[in-house]
Amino acid sequence: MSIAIINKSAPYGTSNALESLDLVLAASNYTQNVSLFFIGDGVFQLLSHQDSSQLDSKNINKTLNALHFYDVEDLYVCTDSLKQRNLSLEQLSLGVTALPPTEIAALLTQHQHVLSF
Amino acid sequence: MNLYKLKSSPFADSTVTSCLAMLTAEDAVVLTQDATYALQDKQCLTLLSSKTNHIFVIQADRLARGLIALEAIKDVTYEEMVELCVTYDRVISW
Repeated sequence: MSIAIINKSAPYGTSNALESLDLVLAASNYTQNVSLFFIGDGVFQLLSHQDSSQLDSKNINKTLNALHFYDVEDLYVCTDSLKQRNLSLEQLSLGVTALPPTEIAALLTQHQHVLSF
Repeated sequence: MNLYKLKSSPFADSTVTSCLAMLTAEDAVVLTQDATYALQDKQCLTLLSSKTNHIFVIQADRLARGLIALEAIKDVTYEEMVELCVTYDRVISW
C-alpha cells in the first residue's frame, strides 16, 4: 500500500503540520511506501533554525529530522513554491528532492492514497 | 491611528495585501503567527513599507519559524505588543 502525504500548511499557525507528521509516523508502521511532499506554505516546515521555545510548541524541524529513523525517506519539495517564497535548497534542513509541480503530479499517480494537510 | 494585527500568511491568502488599501502613514502593522512569513515576501514588504514605516513582528513567532529579522521590521516581545495596543487608538484584527 502506498501513501502520499502532501504538506501544504505553514507550521505553528495551525496544527496541520504536527498532525500530518503523526499520520506519517503511524502510517510508516503499516507500510514501507510513505512519501512526503512539501508544497505551498508547507515548504516553510523545512526551514532550519526554528526556535519554538517561546511558543510552547513542538519544534517541527526536530520532529521532521526523526523521519529517517522511521525509514521515511522519500521526501519532495516543490521548486515553484520555494521560488515564490525566496527560499533556496541550502536553507532547508532535511535531505529533500526538489521537483517542479508537473513531476510531483506524476509521482502522486504512483501512490494509491493521497492525503493533504 | 490604527494598529492592524495580521495573522495569516501572505502566500496562503490575500488578507495581508487586502489590508494595504486601508493603511495610512500613521497606522501600524504587526505581523503575528503565520503573517510573519511576509518577511519572505519581498513584494509584500515593499508594498507595506510604501504605506507606513511602523511595521512590527512578534519576535517569538519569527524565531519559531526560523525567519531572519529585517531592519525595517522591528521585533516586539509580547509585553511590547501590549504597549503597542495601548498606544494606538484601536486594534484591528484583520
